[in-house]
Amino acid sequence: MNGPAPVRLTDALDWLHEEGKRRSEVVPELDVEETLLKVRTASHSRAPVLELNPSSSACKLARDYVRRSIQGWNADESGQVTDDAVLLTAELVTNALTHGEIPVTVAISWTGSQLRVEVHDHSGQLPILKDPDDDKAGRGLLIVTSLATEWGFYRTPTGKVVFFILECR
Amino acid sequence: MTANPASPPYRNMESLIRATHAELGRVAFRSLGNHADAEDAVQSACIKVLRCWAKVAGFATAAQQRAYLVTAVANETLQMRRQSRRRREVLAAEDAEPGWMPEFPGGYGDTASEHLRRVWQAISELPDENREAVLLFAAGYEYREIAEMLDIAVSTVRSHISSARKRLPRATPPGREEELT
Repeated sequence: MNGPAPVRLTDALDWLHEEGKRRSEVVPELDVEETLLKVRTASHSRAPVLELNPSSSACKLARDYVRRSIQGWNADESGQVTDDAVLLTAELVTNALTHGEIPVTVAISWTGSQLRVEVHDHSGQLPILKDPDDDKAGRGLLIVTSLATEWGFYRTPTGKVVFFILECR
Repeated sequence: MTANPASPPYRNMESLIRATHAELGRVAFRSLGNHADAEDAVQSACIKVLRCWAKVAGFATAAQQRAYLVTAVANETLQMRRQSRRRREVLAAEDAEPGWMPEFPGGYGDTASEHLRRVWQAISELPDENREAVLLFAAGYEYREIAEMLDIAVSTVRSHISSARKRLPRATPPGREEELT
């Protein structure tokens, strides 16, 4: 027989096991703050998109989705931004379900310093900002204009997007 | 780290990371053998888990969330092993340790590297549950420790490892199969 003896992979596994055990004596400490920083600034954290159908629970689903995403990212240490984000999301979702066309989807992302929520629907009709003194209808967008750091809308190949951005901290 | 297995789930990723970080670092280092790679593995695994937080947030207990994150780190170390650039670096680091390769039960230098490559390849082809237990075993953890980390019974760990062992011997170096029967 030429060359080294064949090795059973189970023997190799046992060898790795022993090696791993030996290394346990020299494990260096990893910096948790460094990991948290990397996680916070991970280029654009994005939650999977939420799809909504017109139903009595649609708004609640959207609110929970936004609240849970923000909690997961720990994006709102002061606790100031979550309520605004939830409120504005509910306004945009209500508008989309009332004046837009289904399917309505919500997407949230976080850059480490800014939250961005987008509400997509399949109507190309752009939102109309009403006069504050006019009537109750259209007030939702006024709330968005007053609370959001930035907001806007644009057409997409399948409809439109209305979005807002909130600055965290 | 051994909190009550029935503790309520963590509310956010930061508290999950703070609670598990030391353990994640140990898993990654024991598997990869160097600080920089261990750090990379922990960071990428945390970022991946963060991306699917909506799912992890719904787990019933903290122990399940920790197990999910430990598993993500273990899988990350495997992926790093298998990326060719990484593998070269890791193996180079291992080669540099005096007395490291000669102890390997399959030869020296390139031969040992090739055998190791096959081990990692074979491990990566195991069914998910078997693989996760085997990765921790390969990092030097005992059945009891693996059971605690993965939030499963010791007997389940034993059965994962033994069924993995049954699959492993088939993945032998080319032309050598007949010598192993």
